[in-house]
Amino acid sequence: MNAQLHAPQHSLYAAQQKIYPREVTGRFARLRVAAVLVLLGIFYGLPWLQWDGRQAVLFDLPARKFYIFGITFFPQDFFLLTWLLVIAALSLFFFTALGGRLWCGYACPQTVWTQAFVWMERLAEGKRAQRIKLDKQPWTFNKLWRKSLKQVLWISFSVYTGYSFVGYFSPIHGLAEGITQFSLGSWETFWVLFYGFATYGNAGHMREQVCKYMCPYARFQSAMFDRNTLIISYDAKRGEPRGSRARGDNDQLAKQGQGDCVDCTLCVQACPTGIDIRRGLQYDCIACAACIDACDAVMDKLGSPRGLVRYSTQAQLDGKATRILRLRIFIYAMLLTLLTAGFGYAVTHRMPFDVDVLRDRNALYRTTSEGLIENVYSIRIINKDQHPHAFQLSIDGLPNATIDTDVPQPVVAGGAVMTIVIRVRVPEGQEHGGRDIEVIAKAIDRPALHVTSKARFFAEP
Amino acid sequence: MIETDKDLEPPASPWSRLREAVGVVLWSSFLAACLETMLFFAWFDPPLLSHDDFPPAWLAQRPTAYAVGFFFFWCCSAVAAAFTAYLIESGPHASDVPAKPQQ
Repeated sequence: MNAQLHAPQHSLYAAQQKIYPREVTGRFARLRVAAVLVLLGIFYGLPWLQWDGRQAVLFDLPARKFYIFGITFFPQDFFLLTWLLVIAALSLFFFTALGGRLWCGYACPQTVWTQAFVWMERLAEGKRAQRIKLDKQPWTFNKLWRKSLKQVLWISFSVYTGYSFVGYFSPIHGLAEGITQFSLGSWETFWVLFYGFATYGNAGHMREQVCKYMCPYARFQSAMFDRNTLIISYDAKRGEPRGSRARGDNDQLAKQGQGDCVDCTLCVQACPTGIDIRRGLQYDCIACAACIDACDAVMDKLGSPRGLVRYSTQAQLDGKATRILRLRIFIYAMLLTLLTAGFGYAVTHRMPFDVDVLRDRNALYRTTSEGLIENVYSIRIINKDQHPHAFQLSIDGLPNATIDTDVPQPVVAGGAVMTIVIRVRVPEGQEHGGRDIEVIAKAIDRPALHVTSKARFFAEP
Repeated sequence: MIETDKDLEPPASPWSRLREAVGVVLWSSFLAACLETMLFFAWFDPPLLSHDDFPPAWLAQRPTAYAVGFFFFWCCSAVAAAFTAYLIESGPHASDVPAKPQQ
C-alpha cells in the first residue's frame, strides 16, 4: 500500500500531502456526474430565466425585494426565510438518518465544484499517474503550459461563477452589459472577484480540507447516525486476510483462507479525501462512493461478486436486518411535513399588503391657522401582490381626526413600495399629551383586507 | 488488525497550529458575519438610518452599507473568535496534568 499518498493530515496549513484522486467509472460515478451537471446547470442557468418580464429569481438587495418566480418577498417576510432554513436543516437531518452523507457525496456545493475543478485539472494535466509525474518533474515547457492551462481554466470558471453568483443579487443582464461596456459598479466588481476567489480557493486548492477542517456538518452528522443508517463500508469478513491473486485463483486461495481483497489500493487512490475505507467508518469519508466503483471494477475483472466495498448499514454488517422505518425517521418526517405544510400555507395566505408609519422627526405637533392640532407622519405602503391596488387611509383611536394628504387614494403598483406624507388633525383642546393611534390602510378593491400600524399622536400637555 | 499509520504522524509545529487557529477564526467569524449582516439589514434599511450628517451620505447607500456592514461584522466577530481561541489555547487544560509515571 502506498502510505505516502494517504498519510494522515491533521493541520490545515501544515505541509499537506496533496491528494490526486484517481478517475473512476461506474454506477455511482455516473450518478455524481448527473448530479453535478444538474446542480451546476441550475446554478448557472437560473439567473437567466425570465418571469413576467423580469428575472425569475432575483434577490434584489439594492431594492430590498426578493423575487422568486411569481412571489415577491420584502424584509418584513424575514421570518419566512428563517422558517425555510429550519426546514432545510431538518431535511438534512432526515436524509442523513436515512441515507447517511448523501448530501456530502452528491449535492454539497463543495463536492460539486471540486468535481468540476478536478475535471478541468484532468483535461490540462492528464490522469492521476500523469499528474503525479508532472508534479515531480522539473519545470519544463510541457509542465509550464499544462499548469498554465489549468490555471486559465480554473480562473475563468471561478470568475464566471462569481459573476453568476452576483447575478442572483443584481440583474444579470445589467451585469453583462456592465462588463462588456466596462461600466460595472465597484461593489459588483468586488463581489464577483470575492466570490470567484472563494470558489478558486475552495474547489481548486482546499478541496477535501474544507470537509475535514471547516465543515460543521461533517462534525455533527454522526449524531444523526444509527445502526440502520446507510454507510459505505468494506466487508472485512469477506475481504480479510487480503492478498494478491490472479483471475481463476479464487477457489484455491479461498480454501487456504485468503479473503477477497487483493490489496490493489484502488479504493484508496480513488478517494477524494485520501482515506482507506478498509479501516472502517471515518469522519473524513464524504460517502461519494468512488471506492465502491473502483472496487467493483476490480471484482469484475477477477470474476468475484461485487460489493466488497458497498453501501451497507451497521446492522447489515452485523448480520441483522436493516430497519428503514424507525422512530427517528418517523419523528423527522412528521416534523418536516408539518413545517413544510405550514410554510406553504404561510406563503400562499400571506397578507398581500403591509403598512409602516414613521413620525415626522422635526416637530411633535403644530397648530394650524384654522386652529387644529396637526401631527405629520410618513406612511409606507407595501404591496406584495402582483397587481396594483388603490388604498384608503383612515385613523383609529383618535376621535374627530381628519387626514390631509396630497394623495388621498394612493395607487401602489404590484410588488412596489410607496411612501406618502399624511397630516392628521384634531380640533385644538381635544387632546392633551400623547395618545396611541392606529393607521389603517384598506385596499379599495378588496375591503375585507386591511393592515394597521401603531403610531403616537401628540398635542399640547 | 490492520496497522494504521496515524501513529506515524509527526507532531504539529507551533507555527502550523497558529495558522490553523487563524483559519478557524476567520472562517467561523465569516459565518457569523453572514448571519449578522442578514439579520441586521433585514431590520434596518441603510437610507432610513441616515440622520443629519451621520452616517455620511456615501455610507447610507444600500450596496455600500451592506458591504461595509458585512466587513464590520466580520471584524467584530473575528475579534471575539480570536479572543476565544486565545483563552482556550492559553488556559490550563485537563490534559496538561502530568500522567502518572508508568510502573
